[in-house]
Amino acid sequence: MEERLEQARYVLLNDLEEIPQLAERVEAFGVRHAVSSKVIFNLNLALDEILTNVISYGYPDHLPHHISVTLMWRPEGMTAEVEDDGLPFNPLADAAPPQVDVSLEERSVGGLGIHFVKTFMDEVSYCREGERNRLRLWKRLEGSGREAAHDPN
Amino acid sequence: MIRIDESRQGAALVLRLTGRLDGGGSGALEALLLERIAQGVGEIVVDFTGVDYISSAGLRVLLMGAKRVKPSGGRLALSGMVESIREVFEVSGFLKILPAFATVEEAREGR
Repeated sequence: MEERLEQARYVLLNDLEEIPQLAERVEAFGVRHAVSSKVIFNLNLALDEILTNVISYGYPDHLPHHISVTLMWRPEGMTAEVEDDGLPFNPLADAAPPQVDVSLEERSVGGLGIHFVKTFMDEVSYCREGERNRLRLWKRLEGSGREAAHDPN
Repeated sequence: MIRIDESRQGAALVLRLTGRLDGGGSGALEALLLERIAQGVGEIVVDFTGVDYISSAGLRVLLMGAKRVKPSGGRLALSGMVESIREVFEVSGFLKILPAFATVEEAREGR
């Protein structure tokens, strides 16, 4: 019988092409833990938006950097933690929510990625530790009955 | 990766997408939309039946296309979204500004 992994860590380069490959790994990890395709989709969307920001704007030196993504599964929810050594980037402090009630002409997509992260995740936390950004995303798993803030440890 | 199948159906240009409309895939769609709009295409249907993923990068390109065709009386309509894709459109507010239909045929006629 296959052992169920509780945690998996992936190290990415700061290259946008890494994102779809990570998505496949997140999906495999989720499927292994019987996580619904909807949760996997939402987690991948949030990770994509965060990583796209980090990779696109975090590295003005244009040198290769490593970004670590750690997935954790527990019966009540899935956590994804992103750690990078890019410029400070706090998605929670960043920007007003997008205006979603304006006409086509007035509409822009600014802030939409972070709006997705906040909408589709149940908890988002950020801290800057020394030279590193550490962002934690948490998504509740259906049927867990867990409503309160969780203790990641 | 995204695959884009193009067809002309009456006055409409129908783009059937397959795969991921993410940061990578949206570049190909953007280039194609800009080219066809420059050639005078005004009626565009983008069919999402085969799309299993979209991010804000994909939405940005759709918004760009819709804005470009509107001044000349054109329109960019959507069709065939699966539930997870539809939810992303819903949360983005795009369903209020882009017409969305169940099928390509309805999208072509639905105005």
